[in-house]
Amino acid sequence: MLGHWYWYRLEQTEREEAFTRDGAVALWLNADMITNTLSPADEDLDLQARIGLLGDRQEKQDAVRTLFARFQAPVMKFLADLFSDLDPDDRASCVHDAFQTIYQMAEDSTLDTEKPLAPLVFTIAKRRAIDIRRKNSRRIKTDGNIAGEIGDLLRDTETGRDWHHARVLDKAEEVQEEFRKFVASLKGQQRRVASIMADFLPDTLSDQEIAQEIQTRSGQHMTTMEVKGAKNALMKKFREILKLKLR
Amino acid sequence: MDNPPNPQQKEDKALLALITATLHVREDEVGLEEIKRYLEPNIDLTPEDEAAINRFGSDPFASAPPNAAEVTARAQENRVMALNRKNTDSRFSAKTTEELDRRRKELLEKLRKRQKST
Repeated sequence: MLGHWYWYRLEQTEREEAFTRDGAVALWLNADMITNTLSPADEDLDLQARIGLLGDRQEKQDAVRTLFARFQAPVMKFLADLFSDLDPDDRASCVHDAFQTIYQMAEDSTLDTEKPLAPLVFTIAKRRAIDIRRKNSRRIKTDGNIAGEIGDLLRDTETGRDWHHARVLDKAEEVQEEFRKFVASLKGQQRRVASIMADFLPDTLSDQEIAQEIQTRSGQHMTTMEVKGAKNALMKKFREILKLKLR
Repeated sequence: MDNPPNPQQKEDKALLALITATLHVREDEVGLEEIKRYLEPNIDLTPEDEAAINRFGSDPFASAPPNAAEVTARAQENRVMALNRKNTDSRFSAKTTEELDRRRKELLEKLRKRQKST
């Protein structure tokens, strides 16, 4: 049977595979993990909010305000880490939207009050941020495709070896964190290109198609030369951070 | 037929793939384990994020600033519809209302037990 220690060490995709493979056992572990992860204070707050969300309109609104007061900053920080390419105002609007959606779900009686609400708030905010990032795009590939192809592109390259080394040294996450901070510090064109690169692997879009995608998403015009320049700058920075962490 | 990429192109693609891996966000549900570190006390926001939060205000039902994204407009539209809906609770059948009451009592009982045990 899978043990907790084993479960926590798994990557998300591995957890999914384990879930499929071990079915009910994994489901049990997952449920067990949920009850043990929120702090007692947060668990009480979550429970109280769920009770409020089953009440009348005023109680529902009070419950959402309670959740908002507790989780607004954590959700904002979560979005800042994941969506450094978005403007802070866009992230803040996602945060508000998530809480308004919870209220709306309670009004429509589509809210599952069997489960803790905190992860749902984070999930809704994340999906809103993905929507903002993608806007009107119709080119998006599924998550599965992206995850599967990254390994192939790293194979037999110096970059792939460096990355493997960084993972062994436990530095990979630091590299990613620093790169996201760098993206957050960018303005205009480079940030827009970074947003597109979040959804597409190399070869999926040509520089011209990236420029078109930017036009679709933001209405901003970029030349292919500008796209190329922005991509090069992003690659240079990533390489620099990676090399620096391996020194 | 396309020529195979030269070593430099291969390295560039590997780097671009890592950039995608770094910035890509999966659409799946967020788990408690993933948010745990964000629930710790004293979350540090950047001054820019702090300012954005302040611009939106401390009430989730208050209006967002006029320059906020169009997403907010959609959410507000939902809210207005919700607030103007007449006699909301009666939209549900007696059975649903009964089920909601039962669930609420169950959660209240759970909370009472938790508070007793602490």
